[in-house]
Amino acid sequence: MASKDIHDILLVEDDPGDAGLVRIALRRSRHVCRLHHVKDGGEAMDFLRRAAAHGQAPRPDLILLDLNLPGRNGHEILEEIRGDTTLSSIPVVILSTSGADRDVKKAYALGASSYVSKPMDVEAFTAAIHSIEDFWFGTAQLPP
Amino acid sequence: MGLAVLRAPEVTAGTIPRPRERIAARLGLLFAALAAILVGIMALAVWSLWPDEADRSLGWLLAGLVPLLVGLSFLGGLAIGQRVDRRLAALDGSPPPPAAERWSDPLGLAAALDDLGRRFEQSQRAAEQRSRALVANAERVAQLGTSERDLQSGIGVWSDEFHAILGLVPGSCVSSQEVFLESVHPGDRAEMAEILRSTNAETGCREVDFRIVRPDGEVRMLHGRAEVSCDAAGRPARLKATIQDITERKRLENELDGLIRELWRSNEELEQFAYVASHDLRQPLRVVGSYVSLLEEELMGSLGGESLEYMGFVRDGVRRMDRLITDLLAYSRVGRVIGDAPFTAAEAVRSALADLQIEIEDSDATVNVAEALPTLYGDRGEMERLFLNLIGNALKYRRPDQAPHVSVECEDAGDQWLFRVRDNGIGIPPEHAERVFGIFQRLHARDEYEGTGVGLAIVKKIIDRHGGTIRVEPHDGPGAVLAFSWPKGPHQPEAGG
Repeated sequence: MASKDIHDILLVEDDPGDAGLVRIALRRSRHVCRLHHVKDGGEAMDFLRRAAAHGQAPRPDLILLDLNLPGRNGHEILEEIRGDTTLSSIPVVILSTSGADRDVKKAYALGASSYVSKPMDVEAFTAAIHSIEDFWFGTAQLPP
Repeated sequence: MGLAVLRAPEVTAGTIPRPRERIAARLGLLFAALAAILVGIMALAVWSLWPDEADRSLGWLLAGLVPLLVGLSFLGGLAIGQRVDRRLAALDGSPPPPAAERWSDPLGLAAALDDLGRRFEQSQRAAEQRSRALVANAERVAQLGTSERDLQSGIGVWSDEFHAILGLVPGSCVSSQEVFLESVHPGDRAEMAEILRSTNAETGCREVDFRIVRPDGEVRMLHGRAEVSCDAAGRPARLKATIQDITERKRLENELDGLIRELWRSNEELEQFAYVASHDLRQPLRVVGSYVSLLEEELMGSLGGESLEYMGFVRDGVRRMDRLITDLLAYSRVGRVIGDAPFTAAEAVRSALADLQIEIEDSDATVNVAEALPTLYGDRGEMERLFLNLIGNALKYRRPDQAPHVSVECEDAGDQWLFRVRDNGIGIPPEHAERVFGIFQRLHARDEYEGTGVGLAIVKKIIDRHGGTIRVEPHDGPGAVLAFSWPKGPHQPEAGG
């Protein structure tokens, strides 16, 4: 088990339906997680840099990033995170409906930790979220 | 300069000057000939009437008389002929032959020879005119103007068509490079001047497209080609140039470019549509499906039979919609990313069968694949999908009371391979043999056989793209036979196809 007992996850997702599915999946998880949900890229960067309303924000252990976001898209946010030396070590998992080759390729090229297509039904969706948690909070060693 | 003659007035039969007839020569010779014949007849008569040896002296008399008679006749004819000549000359107004000629050239042979020479020259010139006219005509039809310039003397000639292309009238201007540059569009003039400068200095060939402005203000697009040849010392000697009006060709090219751009744009749009379909359409679908499932879970105990059935319809609708979108996407992606290369058909069939493992086991099916399958050229991934769909269909549309039996066969049909996927299933009625390849085309109710009606449409699109054909092959007995051909060589897709 990793050193921390409670893991902070930042979810960047504009669709409340999908955000709800992630929340439900995490509620049923065996890991103890705190989910922080922001609705667009600007807010995500504010959260990560503890700017504006996010002065007290914790540094997330994992970022779940949707690609199709209002304003700047997920790829641009990923690029900005990877370009910022204080944030670049945080694992970023892309969670997108798109399974298009070009989206997957671009995400990895920009330094995504992994790319997960959102499954269509709720069981598979929950299972996918659980396996992400299991890997990052169980198998993998997170940056100190 | 040969081309200059092209502008000489046309020579026609009516304008050719009549050669002056020399009567003197003809009459003199005619009279001499008549006298000789007369003497000959007389000699023959004397010879046959007086064969007596004693009168042989008459022969001698004749021998003396003949030259005298012939000579006198000749002179007489000559005198008459010369008089007629003078009379004729006076009649048509030309100067009479000089008096001196009467003694130096009494027969008028020099004049007759002159005449002959003139006629020969005229006929030669006429032939030359004809060939030049042909060249000029060819230039006009080809809309190709030619020019030639002697680089040492700077003297140049332009053909009629060269003038016509520039909108100039032959003879109205000097065929100089300056006049030519004036015709060139101001925007292209500096470049053209530079090209002319360089062609004057170096040998070789240059081609350029440029605009001209005709005297009436019309702008035309020309293609120019200039070739410089050297003299024996290797210095640039002659500049041969052609110009061709390509305004119409350029216009068509631009139109074509526009169409290609439009095609690209609509392709981009299609790609964007496919992307939107894969992302934006499926997202709300997933939300609907997932929350219906969650609702079902939460209300598990309190839902009645009908409500559960409704929930089932919602989930089923969502699942079907999702498959439709996925299949439509797969259909639109055929041929979008082309990775054509040689591959073995056996491998494609094998990976299709691996994907169908569960269906094969569940239906207790037998699949026979011909042992020797050829190496094909095309997109291997698409070929896998093709076999996946064909064999998948053979398993899906099986008879309820019979385990499916599928065979994959291949035969050599000259310049192509002919594949057959044969099954013992429910078959395809002949009246639907064409229809099954249409997109979203289904033959069975959804609760009988599940499907979106895209599978065979994808198969057909893949085969079309590779230059083959597919059809439902008529046969005796149960089941269906789908036969498709696959070209042996790399297939070149038609332009715009």
